[in-house]
Amino acid sequence: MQAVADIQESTVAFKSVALSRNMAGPDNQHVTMRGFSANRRKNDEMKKMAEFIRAVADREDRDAFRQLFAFYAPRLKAFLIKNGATPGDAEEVMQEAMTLVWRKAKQFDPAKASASTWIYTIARNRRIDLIRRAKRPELDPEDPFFTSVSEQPDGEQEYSRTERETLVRKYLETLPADQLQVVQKAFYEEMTHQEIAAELDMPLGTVKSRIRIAMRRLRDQLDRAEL
Amino acid sequence: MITHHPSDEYLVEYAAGSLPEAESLVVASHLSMCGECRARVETFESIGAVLLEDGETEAVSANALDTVMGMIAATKPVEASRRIEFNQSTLRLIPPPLRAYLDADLDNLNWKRAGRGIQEASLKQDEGVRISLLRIRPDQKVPSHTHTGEEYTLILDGGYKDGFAHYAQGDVSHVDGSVDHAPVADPHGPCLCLTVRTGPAQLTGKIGRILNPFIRG
Repeated sequence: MQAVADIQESTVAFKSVALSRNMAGPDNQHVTMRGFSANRRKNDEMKKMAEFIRAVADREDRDAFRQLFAFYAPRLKAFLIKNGATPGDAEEVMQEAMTLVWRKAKQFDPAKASASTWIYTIARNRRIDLIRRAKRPELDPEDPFFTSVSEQPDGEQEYSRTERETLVRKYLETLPADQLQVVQKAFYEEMTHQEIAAELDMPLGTVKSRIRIAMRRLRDQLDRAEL
Repeated sequence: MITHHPSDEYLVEYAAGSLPEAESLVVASHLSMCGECRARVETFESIGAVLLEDGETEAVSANALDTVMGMIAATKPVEASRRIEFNQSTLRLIPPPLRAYLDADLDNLNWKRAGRGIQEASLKQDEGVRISLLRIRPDQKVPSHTHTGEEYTLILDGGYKDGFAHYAQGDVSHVDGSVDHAPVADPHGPCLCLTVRTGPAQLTGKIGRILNPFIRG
């Protein structure tokens, strides 16, 4: 926990990753304290989202689901449109994804994923099924295959999944603009590295190495926070 | 001990949902066997989560919540009923994401001879991408070849070495057209692997060159 606070305090400037189009512009610079309290607020908010999912799982709590819907449905729709879906398709995938949130609520395990990560993966898989009409080879974390073959599950978690998300957010804020750009295109616009290279008119190798460097630094930072 | 993992670029594309089906199958199957890569993918998925949380919003249709509540009430959760009951050795060797591609137990697949001591069962073929299982006899040498496209291999059982490295259960190998390799299966048992190929293999050995015109990878 101390390490988490250290990382937060050591960050000099807070750049919003709110994905306004010119994300790395100087307009998005905030002072540290604002970033710090914003992250704390976000953290609390996300813990509440996890509790709402549990409430749906435990007692089919409609009010809790309404809260989830109010937060995630408009974000999912916007995200899917960014991914390239038409507004109509985005609405459909969002509705299906939210239906699955209700139905799969019992499978939600806060030790494995934060509320947002869990919902993100549900929507991502639904999008692939419905829009790309492709099959999505999916993991079944309940399957005993996991424990029998894998040498080591995930190890002990020194920090919760929600806290990890805070670290990831923090990290994205410090990412150089050129790396942030390819990471955003990869996730936000669901582009393959090949497509990113074509759009930005740069060699595929450059895109790949930017992604690689960005991900290695992210992993290093998380490892350090875990110590 | 897994030593050859998919690189971060593939794991990122998998996490973002842009990796094509066949490559996703290799990655997902590897993830079933590798806690380390699973943790990486979870980290990369939380990038998607952060972008979702911090992203813009788009007004949903006026009756969206009612529609969703209606869908929840209407559909009883139906479990996939036509699941094949696989036998133990199939369940032991085939990771869950790959099982959907099998229409029978391992031994009852449509194995075809693909060279001396090598059998191939084709699982899917689509737009020039072939997903297959390969079974290689112990100690068997696979003729030296290069690839016109890319070849991804995941070792499900046994192992092999090529001139570059040794690959064991859970390891992933990715070679493109530039690599000329001649894998040799380990001596202690047959090697079973999942392969995804985006182009036919080209034999490069002496005999290979003569056979080449007749071989479709």
